[in-house]
Amino acid sequence: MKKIIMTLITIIVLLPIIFMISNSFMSAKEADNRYTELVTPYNSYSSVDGEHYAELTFIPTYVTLDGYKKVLTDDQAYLRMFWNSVLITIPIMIGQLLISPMAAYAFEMSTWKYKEILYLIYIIVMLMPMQLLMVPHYITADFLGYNHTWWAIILPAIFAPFGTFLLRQQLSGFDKTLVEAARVEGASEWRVFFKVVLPNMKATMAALAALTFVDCWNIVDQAVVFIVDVFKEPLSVYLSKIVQGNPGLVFSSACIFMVPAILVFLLSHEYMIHGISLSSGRDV
Amino acid sequence: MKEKITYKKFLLPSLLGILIFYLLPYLASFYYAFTSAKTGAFVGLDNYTRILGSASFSIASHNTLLFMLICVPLNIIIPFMLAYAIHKEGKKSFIVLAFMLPLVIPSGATVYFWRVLFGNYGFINKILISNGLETVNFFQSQATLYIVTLVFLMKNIGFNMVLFISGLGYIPKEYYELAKVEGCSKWYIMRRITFVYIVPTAFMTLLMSVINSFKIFREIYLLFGNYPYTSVYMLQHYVNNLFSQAALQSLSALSTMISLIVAVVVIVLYIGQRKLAKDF
Repeated sequence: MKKIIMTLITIIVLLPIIFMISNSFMSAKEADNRYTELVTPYNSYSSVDGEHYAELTFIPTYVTLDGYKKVLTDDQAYLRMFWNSVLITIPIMIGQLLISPMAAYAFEMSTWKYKEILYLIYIIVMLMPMQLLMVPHYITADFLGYNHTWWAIILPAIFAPFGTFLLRQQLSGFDKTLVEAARVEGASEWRVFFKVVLPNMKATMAALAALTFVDCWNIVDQAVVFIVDVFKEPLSVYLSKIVQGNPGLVFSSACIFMVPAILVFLLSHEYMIHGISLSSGRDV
Repeated sequence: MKEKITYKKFLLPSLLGILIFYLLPYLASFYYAFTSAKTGAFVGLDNYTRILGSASFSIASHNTLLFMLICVPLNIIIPFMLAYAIHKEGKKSFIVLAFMLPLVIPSGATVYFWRVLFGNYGFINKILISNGLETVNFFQSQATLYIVTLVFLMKNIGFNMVLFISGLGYIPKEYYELAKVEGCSKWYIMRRITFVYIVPTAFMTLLMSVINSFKIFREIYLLFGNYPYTSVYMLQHYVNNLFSQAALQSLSALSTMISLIVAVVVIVLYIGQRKLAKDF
C-alpha cells in the first residue's frame, strides 16, 4: 500500500518533466494542432462548440526529431542566448566556489567576538527576496558604471551569502582536531585550508555548485531589470517569451534548455544529496 | 593573535563583496528613501507613507504573506511525513531522486505543462466540458493561488525531504529501542524523541522554505505575466512595477522596510531556536 502511494506521488511529481520531454519528439504541426485554441482542419474532429481544447498526451502520434532540428538550425537567436546563459553562469559558479568555502571556514573557526552578529547579517541578506536585493545591486552598478552589462548580474551573485551558509552548516560537523594536527605538523594556513578543510567539504561544494548552476541558469528577474539589449538576454528570458507563442517550438526549446541542468544533476546527484544531508543537523 | 589575522584573510573576499554589492548600497538606499524622486530634496517619511498608503502595496504584501503562511508549513509538514515514511530505505532510493529532479529543472521549462492543464482551453476544462459541466477560468480566479501552491510544493518538497531523511538518521536508534522497552506509545515516542531531535533540521527546512517561497515568483511571472489575477499579485510584482518606473526612492523605502521586517523575524527565530534547543 505504502509502495503504491509513493509510486503515485513520484509519478505526479515527475509529470511536468515527462510531459515536456515526450512532447518534444512531436512534429511542430502536431503540437500546434493539439495545444492551440484555434480550430484547424486537423483538430476540428475534437473541437467543442467551435472551440478547441488542449489534447494532452504523453505519446506523440508521429515521433520525430524535427523540433530539435528546427530550434538548433533555424532559430539563430536560440544558440546565441544559450551561449549568453553559459557566459553568465560560469563566472558566478567559479566565484561562489572560491569565495564561499573560505568565508564559511573563517566563520566556523574564528574566535572573533562579533562573528555571529556578522553571520546574522549574512542570513538576513540571504532571506531577502531577490527583487529587493536588486535595489542595492542597481545602486552599485550605476555607481561603478557597469549597469546594463552582464556584470550587474554576475558580481552580486558571486557574493550571495547562501553558499557561505550552506557550507558552514556542514563545517560544524567537521573534526577540528584535524586542523590542529596539521598546524602542529607545520603546515601553512593556506595549506591547511586546501589540503585538510576543502577536501572535507567536497560533497557540500558539489551541492552548492549544482544549486548555484540551477539558480543562474534559471535567471529571469535580474536579466529583465539589468539587461536592455535583447542580444544579451539569457536563454531563460528568451524562453519565457516563446512560451507565450508557438506551441510547435516550446517543447524542443524547453528540453534543450533543460539538458545542462539534468546533466549537472545526473553527474552530481549523489554528492548533492549527501551535501544537503550534511547541512541538516546543525543549530543555526 | 596570529590566529585572528589568518581567519580574517579567509573572510575578507566575501566580506568585501557583501559590503560593496549589498551593505554599502543598502545604506545609500536608506538615504535615498528620504529624498524626493524629482528634486532630490529631503522629504522625510513621504516615500514610506506613499507606499504604505498605496492599494497595490497592501494587496501585494497581503498576498505574499498569505502565500507564505500556506506554503511554508506545508513545505515542512509534507516532506517530514514523506521522509518519515521512507527514511529507513535511505537517501539513495528512487523516490528521493525523483523528488530532487524538479528542483534542478529551470522554471521556464515546465511552465507550459501548467498552461496546457489549467488554461482556458486547457485539458481540465476539456474534461469539464465533455462531461457537460461549465468551464472554469482558472487563471482569473482564486484558483491561481492553489495552482502556485501546487507548483511550489512539487518543486521544493525534495530538498526538505532530503534534509529530514538525514535529520531522522542522526537520531540514535537506542533511544527508540529504549522507549519501546519502556512500553511507550507510538505517539509518545514521536513527540518525545523524533520531534525533539528534529528541531535543528526543521529550522533549516524553515529557512529554505522561506527563501524558496520568494523564488517561486519566477513561475508566477512566467505563468501569469506582469499583471496576474489579484490573488497572486505578489510583492515582487509591485517591485518590478516600481523598477519599470525607475522609482529608486520608492524602491529604497520599500527595501529598507522589508529588510527591517526580515531582520526582526530572523532575530526572533534565532533566539527562539536557541531557547528551544536549550530547553530540550
